[in-house]
Amino acid sequence: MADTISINLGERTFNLDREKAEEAYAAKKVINGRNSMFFNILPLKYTWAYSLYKEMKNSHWEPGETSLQTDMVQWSQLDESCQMLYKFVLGAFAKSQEISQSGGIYTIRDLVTAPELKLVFGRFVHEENTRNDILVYLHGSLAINPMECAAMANTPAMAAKQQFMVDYLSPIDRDTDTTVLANKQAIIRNIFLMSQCMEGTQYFSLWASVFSLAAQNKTPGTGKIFRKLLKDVSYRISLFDKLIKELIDENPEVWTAELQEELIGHMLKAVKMEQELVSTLPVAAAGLDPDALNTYIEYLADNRLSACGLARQYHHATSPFPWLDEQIHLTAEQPAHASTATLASSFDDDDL
Amino acid sequence: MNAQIDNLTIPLDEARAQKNLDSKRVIGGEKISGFGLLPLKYPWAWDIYSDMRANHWEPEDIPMQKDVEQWRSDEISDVERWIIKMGIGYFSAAEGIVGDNMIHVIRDQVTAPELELVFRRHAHEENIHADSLVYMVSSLGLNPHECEAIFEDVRTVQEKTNFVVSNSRSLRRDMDMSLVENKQALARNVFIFGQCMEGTQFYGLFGMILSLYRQNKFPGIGQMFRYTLRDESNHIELLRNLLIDLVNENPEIWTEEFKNELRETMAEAIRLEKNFIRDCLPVSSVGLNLEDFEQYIDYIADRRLQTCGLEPLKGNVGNPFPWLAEMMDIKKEQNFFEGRVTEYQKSTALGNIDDDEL
Repeated sequence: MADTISINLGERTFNLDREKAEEAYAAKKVINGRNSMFFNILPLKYTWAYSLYKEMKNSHWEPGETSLQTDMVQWSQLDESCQMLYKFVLGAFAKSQEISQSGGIYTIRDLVTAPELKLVFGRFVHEENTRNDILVYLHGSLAINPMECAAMANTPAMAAKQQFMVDYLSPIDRDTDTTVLANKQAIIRNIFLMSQCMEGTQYFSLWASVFSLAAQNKTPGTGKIFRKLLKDVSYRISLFDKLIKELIDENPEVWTAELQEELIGHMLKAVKMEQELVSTLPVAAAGLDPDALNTYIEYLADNRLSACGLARQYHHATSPFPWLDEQIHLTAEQPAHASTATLASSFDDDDL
Repeated sequence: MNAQIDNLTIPLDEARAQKNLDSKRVIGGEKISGFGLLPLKYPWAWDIYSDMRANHWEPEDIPMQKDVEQWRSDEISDVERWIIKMGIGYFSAAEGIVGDNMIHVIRDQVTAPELELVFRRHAHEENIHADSLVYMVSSLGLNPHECEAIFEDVRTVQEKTNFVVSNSRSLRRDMDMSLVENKQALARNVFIFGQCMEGTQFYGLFGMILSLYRQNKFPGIGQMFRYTLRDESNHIELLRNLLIDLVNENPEIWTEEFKNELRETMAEAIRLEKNFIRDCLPVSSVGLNLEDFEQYIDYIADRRLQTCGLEPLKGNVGNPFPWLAEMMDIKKEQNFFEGRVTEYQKSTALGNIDDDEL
């Protein structure tokens, strides 16, 4: 194997050498890597990110593919508390992005430097649109006024979630110096808050209600749509817990006992907030026992904590709603962490 | 009141709906809480978004076997291989640059929900294009650095890149959008990315690769570039509409001086593209000649200017490559390469997606 190859084209000669390939590979980092706008995904370093991107795009879907015929026929016959719950779900769902301040994900994308990580963030950009398309389709098919739903979801329990994010998110932006320890920790904190505390545990009482209704053959089309949505959510949760782990691997100094304790504290509060939401909703009308639902939220939080390498807090031996694990894709499909490619495996040596 | 969108009717509170509509602006609008898409103020954004969704494609839908066979065979010359490497190398960077600009500059600045929506889709399509290049590299078994090297070694490519990157970088900051100069800076960015880069500077390599495709060389790569070209035509139209509405809402930016500046910017883009073509693209090897190629660049650049309400630079230039526009028309020949349904909406209509999984 030659260390250098030359390509001649007319008067030009291009020299490619192994050293250069190794440099490009070594320059890939989650943060503080080669700062380039160029999207050279290859050679891959974070192979898990590209695999995840593939999985995400193989699950590409459009809300309009799912028929809402049954839902449309049933709507007027649903009892009032089920209708109320349904409208609350739509109102809360429409506000969930602003409550979670998920726009902060764009800042993280900007600060992350490896192109294959930027690529997989691109699915998040697309999935924000899917949320919009779901709302258009559900409101339009069932002729439900989105403004009425927004007013219903305007409750203290929802406001508390918004305040929680305002209180704890760190003020990072595209100009943040990512070589400073406190800023690296701020990135981890914000990812944890946005993905694990918000997207990973909030509104699951609402999703559970939708799935429970669907299991009774009430608005089953809506159930199918939210099941697909939750598949996207599960990919994103997985993206962000892997990203946190990778950041820690590359910057071990960030993972102090204080930070770990702080993140666990955030999750405990997040669980409380969701349990407070449960207390304000007629979940029993959807066939759910509120106490079991509260336990479920704790069970879910333990899963989120453990995926990020943090200690479980609630230790429920089993899921109170095993059927729900399946609906929200909380199954044991956690692949081994961080299969980072070596240079040799990321492209064919013979080509060099 | 009711809002109509596609074939759906959505009830809205009249007073709130009016308030939503009044608060929508291209830039500097009020943030609408919750589901703020309706009523639409910029219906073109929804229309283009719908078209983009209907055009959804994934690289793996396109078989690469024939390309791989040809790549390894004697029927393909080194010059033809060079064209492919050049195309992959150039677009690997360019798609990333555009996607980055859409996410971190344009999406960041626009305020109406339907505008955010369609620019997220734009960024998403850049992702698909970048991924299609990864698929080409891995199918052909190329060393990615061989394509990347183009950027470090060729001055005419670097000049094209600097032209857009320097502009994009300068806008990645918090800007006071009430200032005329900042509004103009955004308008310039929208013009550069839509009309100069995607609208003109992409066409040198599109022309080369699609010429090969017309000779039945690299049919898979050619097909992917046809899809890309079709997507680009939506992006150009999208950014053109954005520019026009930005100007409509902020007429103070549209001075004679500024219009001239945009024309000069296009002239610079043309100059860089012609330098690049002369320097790097062996046009005669695909049966084209340099004169026609340069005329084509002048022709599309004039069209871009005119559709933005700007005076053409040359005027009265004919289109020497009418076949290139036809390359976008994929709908007429579905199943071009056996088996695969190429339009996302079609596969939906077949009803093969709605499974009974619940």
